[in-house]
Amino acid sequence: MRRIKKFRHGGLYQRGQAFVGGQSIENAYLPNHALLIFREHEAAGEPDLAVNEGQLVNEGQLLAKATRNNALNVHASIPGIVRKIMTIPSPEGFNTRALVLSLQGHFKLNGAISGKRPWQSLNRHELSFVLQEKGVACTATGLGLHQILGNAHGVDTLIINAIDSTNYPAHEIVILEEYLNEVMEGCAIIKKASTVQSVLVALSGSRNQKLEVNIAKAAESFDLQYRIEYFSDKYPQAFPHQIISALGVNKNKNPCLFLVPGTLYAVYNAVSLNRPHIDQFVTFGGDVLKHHQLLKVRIGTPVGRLIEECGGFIHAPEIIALNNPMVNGCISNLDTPVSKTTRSVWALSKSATRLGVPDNCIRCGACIQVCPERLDPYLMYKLLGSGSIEKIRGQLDACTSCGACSYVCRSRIPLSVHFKNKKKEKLKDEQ
Amino acid sequence: MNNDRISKSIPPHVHTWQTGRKSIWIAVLTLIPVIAWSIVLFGLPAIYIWGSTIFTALITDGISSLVMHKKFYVSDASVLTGILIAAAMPATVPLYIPILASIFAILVVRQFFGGVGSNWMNPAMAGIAFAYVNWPQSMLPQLNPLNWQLDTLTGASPMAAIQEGFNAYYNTSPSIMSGLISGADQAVTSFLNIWIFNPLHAKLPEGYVNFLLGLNANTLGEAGLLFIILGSIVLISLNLVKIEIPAALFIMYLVLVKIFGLGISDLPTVDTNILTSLTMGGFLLCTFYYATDPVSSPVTRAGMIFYGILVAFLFYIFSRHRAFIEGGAFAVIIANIFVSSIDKLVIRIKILLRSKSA
Repeated sequence: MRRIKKFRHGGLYQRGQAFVGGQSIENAYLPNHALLIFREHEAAGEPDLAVNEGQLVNEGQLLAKATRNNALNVHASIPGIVRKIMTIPSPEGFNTRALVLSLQGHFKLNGAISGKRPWQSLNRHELSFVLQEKGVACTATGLGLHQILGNAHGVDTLIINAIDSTNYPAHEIVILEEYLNEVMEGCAIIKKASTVQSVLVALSGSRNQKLEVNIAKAAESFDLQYRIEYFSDKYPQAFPHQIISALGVNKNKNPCLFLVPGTLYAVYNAVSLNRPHIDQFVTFGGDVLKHHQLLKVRIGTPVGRLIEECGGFIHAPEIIALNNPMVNGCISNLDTPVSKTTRSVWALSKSATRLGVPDNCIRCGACIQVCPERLDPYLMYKLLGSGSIEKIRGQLDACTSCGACSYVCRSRIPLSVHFKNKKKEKLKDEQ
Repeated sequence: MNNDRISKSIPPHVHTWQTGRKSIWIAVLTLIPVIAWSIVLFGLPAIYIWGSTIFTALITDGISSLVMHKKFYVSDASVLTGILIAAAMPATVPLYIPILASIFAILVVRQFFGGVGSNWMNPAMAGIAFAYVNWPQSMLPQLNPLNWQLDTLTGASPMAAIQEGFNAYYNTSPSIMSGLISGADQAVTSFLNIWIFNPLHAKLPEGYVNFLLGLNANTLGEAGLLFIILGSIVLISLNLVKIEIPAALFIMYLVLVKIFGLGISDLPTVDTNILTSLTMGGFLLCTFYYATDPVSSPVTRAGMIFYGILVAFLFYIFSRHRAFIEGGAFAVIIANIFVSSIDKLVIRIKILLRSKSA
């Protein structure tokens, strides 16, 4: 019996009903209109438009080319006519340009049996170029994968992060199970494209014998050195800091690369099948959604259409949250499209969110006990209120905005958002 | 204004079920059996005392917030404050004392320092101390509130009676205080002895059931000792109290009692009796309801433990040299003074350790 690993300090267990996993992945219907956003990340640059309004484009055609820092190529997820180019607010609160495509023409990539690209003969830079050209983004962070690889100097371990530590999991484990060979081939490509020596599969929960056998088979066929570790479901175990802490290795000595199975599947598609990053796996769940489903969705599909496909709402939701409800934003508009960073959509009722109006701090001390970085959110909040930021500069830098402190706050003070905003302000001041 | 909309649109979108308001109301619910039982024991005077403190606390809170903040707002915490003040009152107290104590607690200790969450001293404890210091004579308990149950009672003061009881225990009968045994006590104790303790080759002395049922209680709160124990189990299992404080307090107090004794008897074995020490002077009420008030106790874990130890020390001193029956209130108030220093110290050490390890 292998020991289940977990980080040492703080953290919390979310009790209650989780979305039941182990389901199969289904393909979502193709949208009539796709809304493609240009920026996935607040710090990302805007790509330059490569098409005009009214132009007919093919499936997978380049729509916007990345020329600036952190920018990503945008491809047409469906064939059609470019209807409109506009600016919309993203779920994370920043504005981005976007492009509306109306379905027209025929699908060239879909179902086409194309030969596999012999990527084994490509070198590191060529692979990185392919990833950049196909607009592959890290689905967890929204950064370009070529950029992450370019910055990862001396990395020797690739960690496949399939840990679910909340009641609102992204179901990366299902993707890993269903597309195991594709994901492992993605690993092999990343190994070739970087200095990675070995692969660590990070799973949560109890031992999964069947998956272990399958991983062993797949790893053998791609000649990968691998090991499997099981992690606790204590939140925020899925965060890179906490995985490193649970493994008990020195971060400065052994830098690691963290990727989720969804990203590796996109890598496989881009490099091996020559297919741009136009598909995304999205979990639909929450207590007011009729059917919980894991769908393979074309990027740009409006969320409302997909919710319809899941049977719609049982009653009006209090909130529709994206990805991890502890950290990420929510959507107020059902026309919001699925983007490269959308991994799950949660339609939640009042009884699931337990939202409340912020109140005075009652000094219960729960935030201090729960902080996985051993910070003092109570003190930070008080000092931020009085304006003396200098004293907590170090603590602000160490905060990972995991939201554990806000989750347990008995007065419903949005602590982690305060810290995140202050951090941003501070960075702006320094520049 | 747009508070609701703003709080909806920023993460996290999910929360724990515990909130400040819920923890107050659950604490109040756990105290309702205590209130009910004390009314059964003491009758109408108990109803007047509970009612007057809660009512006064609510009214004072409402009026003071209207005057000071130009907004009528009654905090849920006032209910708990009112209940805790009444819990430390003897049943025979004149009604103006609990009323004035509640006004002092809410107005001076809480509202003048900035309302809920800003008071540095536990308002309920301040109210109790206020009453005990100003009207010490009225706050002396009438030992014999239940003539119909304690017909063998002859002692003039509680301590004398207990002393006599202990002497009697070691000389003649197996009870901790023979002078104070009620019929109910004898019945329950003999039942427990026959069915549970005798098969285990042990024997429960008579007298504890009296304490549990509050048949020789000094104050309204002490009367419901059994329900306070049950309530504390509820509060701890729901993770609503800072568990470090009662744990440290409990252990430290028992260690002190074991080493130095309670000072009620010349016999060392009686003097260091743990069960007796737990049933006396509202210790359990102090441990689980007085000392664990979140606002006036430390926020750090090490600080909570230190605070618990400090309260235990002070409680021991006050209960050994008992000038007042409610030593707990004074112990908590004095420990409150050190809270900000404790927090500052612990956080400073934490920051120092972190900078060293980084």
